[in-house]
Amino acid sequence: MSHRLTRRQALAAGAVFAGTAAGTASASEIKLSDAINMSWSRTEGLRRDLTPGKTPIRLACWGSTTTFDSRTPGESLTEMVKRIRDRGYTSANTITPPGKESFWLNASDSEIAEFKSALKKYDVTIFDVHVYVNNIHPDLSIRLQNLKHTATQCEAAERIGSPMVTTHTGSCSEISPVTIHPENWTLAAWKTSVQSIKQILKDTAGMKVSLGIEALNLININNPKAHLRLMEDVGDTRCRVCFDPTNMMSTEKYFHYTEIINEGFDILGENIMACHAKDSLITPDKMSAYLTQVPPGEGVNDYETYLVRLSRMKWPRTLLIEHLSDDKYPAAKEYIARTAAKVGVKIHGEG
Amino acid sequence: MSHSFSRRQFLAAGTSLAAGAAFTLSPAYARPPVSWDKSKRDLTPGNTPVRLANFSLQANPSQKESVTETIRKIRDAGYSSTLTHTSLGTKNPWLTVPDSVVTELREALKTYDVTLFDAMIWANLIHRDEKTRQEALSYAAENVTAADRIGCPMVTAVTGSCDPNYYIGIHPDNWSKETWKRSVESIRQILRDTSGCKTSLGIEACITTNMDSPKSQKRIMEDVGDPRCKICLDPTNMMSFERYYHSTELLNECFDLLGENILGCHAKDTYIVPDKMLAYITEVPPGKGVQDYETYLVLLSRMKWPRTLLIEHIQQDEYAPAKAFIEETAKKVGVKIQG
Repeated sequence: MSHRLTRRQALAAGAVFAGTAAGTASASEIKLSDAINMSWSRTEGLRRDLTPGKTPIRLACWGSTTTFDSRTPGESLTEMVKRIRDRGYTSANTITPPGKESFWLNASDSEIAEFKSALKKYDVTIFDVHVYVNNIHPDLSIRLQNLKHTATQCEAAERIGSPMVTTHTGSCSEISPVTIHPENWTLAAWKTSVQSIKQILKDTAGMKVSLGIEALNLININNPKAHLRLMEDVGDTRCRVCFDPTNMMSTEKYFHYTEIINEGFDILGENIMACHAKDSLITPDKMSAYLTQVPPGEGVNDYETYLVRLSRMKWPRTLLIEHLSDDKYPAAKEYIARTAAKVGVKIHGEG
Repeated sequence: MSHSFSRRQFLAAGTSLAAGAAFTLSPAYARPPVSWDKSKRDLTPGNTPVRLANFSLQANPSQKESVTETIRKIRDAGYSSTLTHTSLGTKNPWLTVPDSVVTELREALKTYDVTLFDAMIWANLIHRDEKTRQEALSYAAENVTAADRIGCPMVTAVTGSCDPNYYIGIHPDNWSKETWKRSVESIRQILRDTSGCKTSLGIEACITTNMDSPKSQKRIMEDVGDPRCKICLDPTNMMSFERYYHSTELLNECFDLLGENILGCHAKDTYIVPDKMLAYITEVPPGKGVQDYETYLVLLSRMKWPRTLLIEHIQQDEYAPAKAFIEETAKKVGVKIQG
């Protein structure tokens, strides 16, 4: 049983097939640069400017004992803030899931005063009230509930002096705010995203708190340009950025973290209110590109460039280490601190 | 503590920062470009049936049963094609069995209308360590020789990776010209070392290596310049985030560009996990992802002779539903499954 073609037949067949392919190159026209995705390789001769700035970076950690939701029974707000500081973090965040009452909105004025006083005393900042909802949910009634939740969290943030509420635009999928869907990149989804952000900002008009949009590769905000364009289309100075380059990762960008980070800081600049610390690794033993999240330092993220760019900001930004199990945070923090020391960047509260 | 900018400051910053960048709406949001319109597909089937194979049902020589029994079991399980695989470091048993066993195999295949379409190998043919590379090339050549002995038309292989530890590991040098040249040289050497054999080398794509697109497969055939350099088509292995909603276009490009050079195909599927912030591109059983199996089967049915579609990389209990999905899809689009 042989199904071989002769070389002549193969070439003849190739010409015929290529001729039928609309928009594809014929056999003889396939350049090597078209045949292989050379751009996927690390950029040849890429020069990194690792000149540090003078601004320190505050570290935060989304562990079970290092957020402002980690208060234990009997523990005062002051004690909680002190405990977070004692663990080596000078910033933290809080999150209230949809459907639950916000502690911060229900807290008494004296509790809020105590919290703010503790932050000042222990030199800890609250950088973020996090929101995880689908702000462009395809079901309008659910979307409106979600927008209301986001607006409510802005009220909470405003009350406790948090400069930012982080959220995502969302997905056209009903599954989750981060689910890939074929319509996520349509003009309609974009318009809905802009409308939703505008609605939240309108409903919280007069507040100082910004909405920090976080990128996700599976939705329309998945690159620095998308961030900038969204800010422009929303046209409100309270529409800002929570920068997460790991969430912009895909196979073809895998060896281009440095460029993504530089592009992010170049075009978003001081609109970046805070950053997330994660890393990416494509598992080496799979035939598909299993792009996974790993702790900082265990993937291909260029933390030297990342920290240097943060140090050049005008005021100290928070770098939130997240999405790890509790036992992995110390090593991740140590890696960031070690890398910062290597490139001459100061971590606030250390050294 | 307020860090808000005035609108004027914001716009000024945007203007200065945007210098040199084209902020049209399209590049900002249109990633990946999406055309999910399935209505424009040409689903006119051809007359050629498709043979199905199951990776867990292989035609390897066994002490436990005769080769006739092995082939009969494969056929009884509903598959009309099979493969054989020998791991690196193990001598291919088909080289050492008596001629009578080879004859028995050929007769059993004929009796039960089963084809042996592939003698698959797993090795890094472009390993940067020359000694390791040569071992891999010897392994490949040995398996081509074995395949030739038993009338198997193809040995499937990937080019490999610059990763020293994983033959399909992603590495920043995988897409360099040097790596490409080494890929071409390695394939040429295997074919040269097995000259006279009828068995082809079926190059399989793998998204983490330089063989990650139909064009790369076409180009490798051209650069190798030997009619025995053919293709084992695996569109799932070409899936990236940006191609995720473009399975139809990818399949059409594969069959348009590679045509009859495709000697066998793999049946898998791609699924991006919905609740992760990154593109967790995972392999799932056929029908559980975004692969356009209607187009895939139709294009296979238009080939000149029956190709094998190998179901692989799934758990044992997932083969039956995967096979059923392919058969149902084939029936829906009027494609015949052999047997």
